[in-house]
Amino acid sequence: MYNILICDDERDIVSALKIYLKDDNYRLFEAANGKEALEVIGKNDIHLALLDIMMPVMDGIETMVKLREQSNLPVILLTAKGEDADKVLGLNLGADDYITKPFNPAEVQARVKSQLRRYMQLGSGRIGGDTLVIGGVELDDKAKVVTLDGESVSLTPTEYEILKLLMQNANQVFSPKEIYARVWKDAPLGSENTVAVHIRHLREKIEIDPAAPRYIKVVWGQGYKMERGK
Amino acid sequence: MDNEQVKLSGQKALPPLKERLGAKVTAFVLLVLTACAAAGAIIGACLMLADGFYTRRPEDIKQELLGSFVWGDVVDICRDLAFGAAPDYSVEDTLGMTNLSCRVLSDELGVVFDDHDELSPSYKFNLQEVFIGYREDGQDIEYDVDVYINKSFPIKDKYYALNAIADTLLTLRYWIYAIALGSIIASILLFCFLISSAGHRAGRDGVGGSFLTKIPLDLFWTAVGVAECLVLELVLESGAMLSDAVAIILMCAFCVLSFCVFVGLCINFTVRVRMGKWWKNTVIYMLLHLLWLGLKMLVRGIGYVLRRLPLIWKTLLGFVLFALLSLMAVIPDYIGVRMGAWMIGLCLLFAAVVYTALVMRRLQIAVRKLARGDLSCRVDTRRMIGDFKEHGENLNSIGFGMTRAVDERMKSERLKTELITNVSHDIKTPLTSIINYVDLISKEDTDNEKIKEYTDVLSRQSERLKKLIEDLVEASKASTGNVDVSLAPCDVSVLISQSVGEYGEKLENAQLELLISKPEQPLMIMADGRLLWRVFDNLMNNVCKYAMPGTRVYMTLELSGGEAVVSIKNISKYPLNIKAEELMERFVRGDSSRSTEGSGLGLSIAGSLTSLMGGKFSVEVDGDLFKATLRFKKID
Repeated sequence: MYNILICDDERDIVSALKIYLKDDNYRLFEAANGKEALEVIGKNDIHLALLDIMMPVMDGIETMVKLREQSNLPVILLTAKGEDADKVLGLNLGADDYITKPFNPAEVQARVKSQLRRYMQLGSGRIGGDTLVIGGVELDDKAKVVTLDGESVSLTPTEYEILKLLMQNANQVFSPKEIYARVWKDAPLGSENTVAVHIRHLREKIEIDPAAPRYIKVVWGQGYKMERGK
Repeated sequence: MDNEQVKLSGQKALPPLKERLGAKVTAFVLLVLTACAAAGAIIGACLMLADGFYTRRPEDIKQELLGSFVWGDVVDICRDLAFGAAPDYSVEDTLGMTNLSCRVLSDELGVVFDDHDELSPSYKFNLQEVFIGYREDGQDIEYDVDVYINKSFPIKDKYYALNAIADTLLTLRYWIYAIALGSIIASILLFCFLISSAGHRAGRDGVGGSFLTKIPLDLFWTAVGVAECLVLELVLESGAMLSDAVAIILMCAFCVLSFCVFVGLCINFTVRVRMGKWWKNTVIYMLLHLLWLGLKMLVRGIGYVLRRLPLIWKTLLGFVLFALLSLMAVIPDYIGVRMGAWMIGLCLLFAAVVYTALVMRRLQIAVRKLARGDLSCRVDTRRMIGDFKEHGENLNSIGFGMTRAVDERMKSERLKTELITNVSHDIKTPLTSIINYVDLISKEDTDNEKIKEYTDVLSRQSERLKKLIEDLVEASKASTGNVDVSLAPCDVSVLISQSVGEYGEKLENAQLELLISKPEQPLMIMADGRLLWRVFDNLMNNVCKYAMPGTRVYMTLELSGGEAVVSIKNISKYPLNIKAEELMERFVRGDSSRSTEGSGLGLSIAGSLTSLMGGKFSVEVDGDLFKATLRFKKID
C-alpha cells in the first residue's frame, strides 16, 4: 500500500487525478497548497508527492525545497509551466520528474508507478557482474533480459544489442554509422537510416514519453547516447 | 570653540602669538630697530673698509684722523703769532689746555714759537708755508709749523675725544660684521613672523583684511609711491636749506619711514594673497575684465545675428566680403597692399572650401551608415560650426530616435512574449481539466453513438488547442529571439537519418514514400542541434499533415557554393492558392478554411529558429509542389 499525495489548487484536476490513480495499491491524500501538503506529509507516511507549482500560500518549488530538507521521497512536479528553463530549475531543485499540463493520464500513471518502484526498491540492489544498470533500466547480459523499473521489457535482438552498446558506453555519443558498424558488424553503406528507426522503437519500449526521453537521449546532428544518472 | 577652551582651562586662554596685536606691534618696532642697526653696521663697515681700517696700522689711522682736525687749529695759532700774541689754545679748549704743542718756524726769524716737549711721544704733523695773512709791505706771511699731539692725551680735549672714537672704531671694526649679520638675521625672522601673522586677528577664524586691503592694489601702490616721492622732495628741499647734520638726520628718518611703509605694503600684500584672487582687486584687472565682457557681448551679438541669418544670406555675406577683398586688389594702390588683400581673400576662400568639404565628408559617412541601418552611428559635431553643427545634431537625433524606436519595439515584443507565456499558463490549467474529463467521458460505457462521436470531436479539438498554445509560445519566443542558442558543429546528414527514424512510421501511416539523397561524407555546419531538430520536426510534421497520400516526398542534402542545402519537396493535398511569403507568416495555412489540424505557426517557427542560428530558410510554391529549403554555411 503506497501513500500518494496530490497537491493542486484546482479541485477538478485533483479529482481527475484521483480517478486516474485509483488503484487497490494506492491510498490517495490531497492538499490545496504547499502548506497543506507539508502538513499532510508531516502526519502521514507519504511515499510519493505530485506537486503543482503555481499555487496560493506556498508554491510547489518552495514546498519541494522545504520537503527536501527532511525527506527524499519522490516528487513529481505537475505544472503548466512548460518552458525548458522551468524544467531545468525544477529538476535541479530536487524534483524526480516533471510533467507538464495538459498531461496525458497514462503518462502520469506510468511515471508514478516508475518513481514508486524505484523509491521502494532503493537500497535493495542485488546486481551481479553481468548486469548493467542505468536509472530504472537493468540489462542482464547472462540471461539476456532487460527490465524497466523491475518489469521485464521484450526487445528484439537488434534493439537489445543497441541498448547494450549504449549502456556499456554510457555518456558516449554514437553516430548512426558507428552503431550500425558495431551492431550489424557490417559496412554502413547508406543503410544507417535503419538505425534511427530501431532507436525509435527502442525508445518507445523503454521510455514513458518517447518525445522526451529519460534514458536514450538524441543528440541532434550527432547521434545517440545514454546518460548515467545522478 | 573659544567657549569650550575657556571651560576646559578654567581661565581665559591667551590667543596664539600670531593673533595678538601687542606682539605684532612689538615685532614691528623691533624690526625697524634691527633693520636700522643692520643698515648702520653695513654702512659703517663700508666706510671703515674705504678708510683702510683693516689694512693700515692703528697709528697711521689715528694720525690721519687727527691730522684732518689739526689744520684749523694751526691757522688760528699762527694768526695769533703773526700779530704778536702767544698762541691761545683757548679757542680749542675752554680750560685753556690742550694736548697740542707746536714749533713755528719762519724763513726770516727762525724759530718763532716752540712749546713742544721732545720727551713725550707725540703725533707729528709737518705743515709747510702756512699762509697767515699779508704784511704791511704786501708780502705773504707764511710759517712752517710742526704740530705735535701728545700720544698719552693727558688733557680731555677734542683730540682726546677723537682718539677715543678712533679706539672704539678700531675695537668695533671686526665686531661690526657680527652686528650686521645678527641684525640681518633678526630682521628676517621678525619680517617672517609679521608676514606669517598677517591677516590673523584674535577672535576670528581664517584671514581677513582691514579697509586697506579693500583699496585696489595698483591704486594703493601708486598712491603710496606718490606720497613717498612727495616726502622725498620735501626732505631734499629742506635739506638744502638746513645744515648738513640736520639734512642727514632727515634723510635717515626718511629712510626709516620708507622701510616702515615697505614692511606695511608687504603685510598688506600678504593679506591680499591669503584672501585669494588678489589680482581681482586691481584697477587693471577690472578694466581688462570690463573689456573682456564687452568683447564677449560683441562676439555673442555678432554670433546671434549670424545664427539668425538664413543660410543663403550668410553665403551671400561671405561672398560679398570676398568680392570686396578682391576689389581691393584692382584699386590702384601700393602693389603690396593689393597682393596682400588678394592673398588673404584667396586663403580665406580656400579654408572655407576645405572646411566645407571635410564636414560634408563626415556628414556623408554618417548618413551612409545610418542608411545602412547602423543606428548607433553618431556624427562628431565638436568641431563643426553653425549650420553644419545643426545639421549634424539633427542627424544624431534622427539616429537616436530610431534607436529608441527599435529598442521600444524590442521591448514591446518581449512584453508580448511574456504576456503570451503567462496567458498560456493560465489557459493550460482549465484545458487540463477539459482534456482529462473528456477522456473520462470517453471511457464511460455508453451505447449512445452520438456521445462517442461528440467526445471524439471534443478530444480532437482540445488536443489541437493544446498544440496551438504550445506553438504560440514557441513562435513568439523564436520571433523575438528569446531563445537560448548554443551553436556547435553538427552533421546534417546524421540529422536527416535521425529525422527518418523519428518520422518513418508517421510517413507510412500517411501513405507517403520518403526518398532521401545525401552525400556519403559528413557535412558539418554550426547549429544548435536541438533547435535544428525543431525546424526539421515542424517541416516533417507539415509534410505528414499536408502531403497528398500516395505521393513521394523528396529530402535532399547537397553542398552548393560552400553551403549545406537541405530541401524538402512534397505534393500538397490542397491547392496552394497562396503566395510563398504569406505561408511563412504566422497563422497562415495552405487552406484558408482552417478546418485541418495545425496551428499555422510551424513555418514561422522554422523560419525564426533558422535565422536565429544564422541560416536561411525559404519556401517555394509551384502549383501543388511545395518546397522548403534550408541553407547553412558549411564548416570544416
